[in-house]
Amino acid sequence: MTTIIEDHLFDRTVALIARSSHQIATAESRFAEDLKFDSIDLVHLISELEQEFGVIVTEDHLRTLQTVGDAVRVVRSLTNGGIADA
Amino acid sequence: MSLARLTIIEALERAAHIAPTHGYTFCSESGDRFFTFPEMAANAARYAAALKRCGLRRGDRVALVLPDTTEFVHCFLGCMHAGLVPVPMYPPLRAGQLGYYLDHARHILARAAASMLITTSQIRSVLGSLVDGQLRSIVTVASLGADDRTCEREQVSLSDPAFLQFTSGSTARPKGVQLTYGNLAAQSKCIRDGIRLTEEDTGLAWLPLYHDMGLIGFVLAPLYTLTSVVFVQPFQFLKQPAEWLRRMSKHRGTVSFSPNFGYGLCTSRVGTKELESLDLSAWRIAGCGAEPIQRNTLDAFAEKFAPAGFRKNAFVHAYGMAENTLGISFSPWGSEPGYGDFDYDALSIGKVAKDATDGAKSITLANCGRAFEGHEIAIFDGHGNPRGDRLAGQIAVRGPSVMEGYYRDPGATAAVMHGDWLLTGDQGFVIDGELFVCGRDKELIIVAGRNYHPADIEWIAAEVPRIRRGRVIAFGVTSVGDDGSSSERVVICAESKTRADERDALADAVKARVLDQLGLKVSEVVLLQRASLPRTSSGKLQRTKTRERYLAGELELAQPDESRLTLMRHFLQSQWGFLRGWLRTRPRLPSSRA
Repeated sequence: MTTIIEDHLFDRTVALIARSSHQIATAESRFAEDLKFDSIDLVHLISELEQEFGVIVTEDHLRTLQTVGDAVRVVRSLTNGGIADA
Repeated sequence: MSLARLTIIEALERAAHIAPTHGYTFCSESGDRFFTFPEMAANAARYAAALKRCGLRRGDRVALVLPDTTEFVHCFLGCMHAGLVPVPMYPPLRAGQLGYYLDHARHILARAAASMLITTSQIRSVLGSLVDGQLRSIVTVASLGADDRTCEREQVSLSDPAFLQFTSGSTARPKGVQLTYGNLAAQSKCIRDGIRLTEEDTGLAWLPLYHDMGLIGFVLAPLYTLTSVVFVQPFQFLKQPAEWLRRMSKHRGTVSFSPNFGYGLCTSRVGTKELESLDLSAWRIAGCGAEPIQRNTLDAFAEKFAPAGFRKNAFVHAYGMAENTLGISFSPWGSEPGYGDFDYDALSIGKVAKDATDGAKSITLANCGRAFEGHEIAIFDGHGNPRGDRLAGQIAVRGPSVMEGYYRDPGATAAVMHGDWLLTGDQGFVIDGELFVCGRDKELIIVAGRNYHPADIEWIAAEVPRIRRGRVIAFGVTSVGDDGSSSERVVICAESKTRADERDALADAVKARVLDQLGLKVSEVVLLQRASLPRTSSGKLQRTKTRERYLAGELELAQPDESRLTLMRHFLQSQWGFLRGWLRTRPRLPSSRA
């Protein structure tokens, strides 16, 4: 099932994925299995989100990311000044 | 005393004594920390004392899974101070199926007979299942309890084991290269002489420290040459390749090394505005090694960063392997490294490496220079006899950097040692004493500086339903472009009796599985009719023969419904084409489908 989340952060994430890999992602899309992202692709996406939203995602965060929704949650918690679960 | 007679900790103490203001800077996104050599020596003694309080005894193996470079260096040197044998291991990079990682880790820990594993609290939570039998505990750096208490340095000799570097064996049979303090001292001298590394230099590394290029080249060798080093976290580099160059600029870095792909990432990802703020004029050694060197990549880098003061003659081609501690040869420093264009078809084993002529398909190979002082390079034919100039064969090296052997694995050691010669498994030839590497261990697949063993890829592919273990073969194929550049593609051949309309989905599932577990993109999955992969008389699958048949187009494909497939491809390509134009993407590597 596909969840529709209407928010800017999510839309931007999907747009960045579309731009680099020509794929339309959903919150449930898994980076490896569905989007065929390797580590470098994933790190590149994280880097673009960091620059756009002014946050710093750590390597510990990276180890928790399986889906697009995970990435959005981590970045959101960081923009809210909270500490993302690592 | 000759530098080549010092152990690592003796070299560190000497550096603390005669270069007390030099040291290592560890950069991170939360700020930089600088440790002088005296502080590094004191930290090694503090960590050593903490390790000893854990009940570890001289010679015990201690596994390190530490993504943070600061923690890694302190623990690594602490182990050596205490006479322990550190075993660096790579950390799990991302979530998802950890099965493959844990399996690999378990095999390494068993082979190393490690007593303890040191890691972070986050990684510890996923590694917990590894504690059994031999491995007494998994502890976090914080819980080691390093405080102000120190201990005396354990006396070790040059013939004692210094650390184990796990490399290139398959998961089921990892091979731990055992290096002695003598190996490390000899190799440090090679590096010093090869690039004239001095205390005037500033080294800069973003390389992971569980890899020999980062660990030996930038953590250990600079202790002998009193060279200050700046460490950028590998993750920071991967996120922003420009960070490497920013730091080179900021710290006036003079020496840095990277596999070929690092230079390529900078060329494609660093923007014009960023470029204007860089000053790379101090950079005098830009080493390139650990994977095949591509002239195009380095030329493009040099051209792009020339306005920032980068000089092409800073490039140094490096060839090496962990079994020889690190480096086997460097191209001469201070002059632009050379290349040769050779006739591609003539360049197979047993044939003479001919210079390319007009019209013939050619391959550009990097000149990797001469053997280091005290070391020799030879080319052997298939019977172990030395070959002459321009004759391709297996590259072998001997000298004080060659390992003692694989740890507790006499069988694997015997397979690579020919008397005192280390057989590298790589193919190459020599012209006037200068080495050209033209191929590798036929089975090893190297992508982005990382080695993959086909057995691991095959194992993972066979976990996909309808792919059966023992009926899968993986190999690498090098394609040579019109411009002489080469690239590596990974191909998997599998026997399967899947229905025609399910083949694309099955091939995609295999690609996804390998990508998820190994982070490796497979270019092609070839599904074959049953019993069509070549076997030995005992029924074992043959990789080399499969690869040859694949290249010759002789494999019996499980016939797909061609007309429908072609139509689908046209449809997909036209859609992708539309999206590409519409989204105005920047140039990028094609996805695994392409």
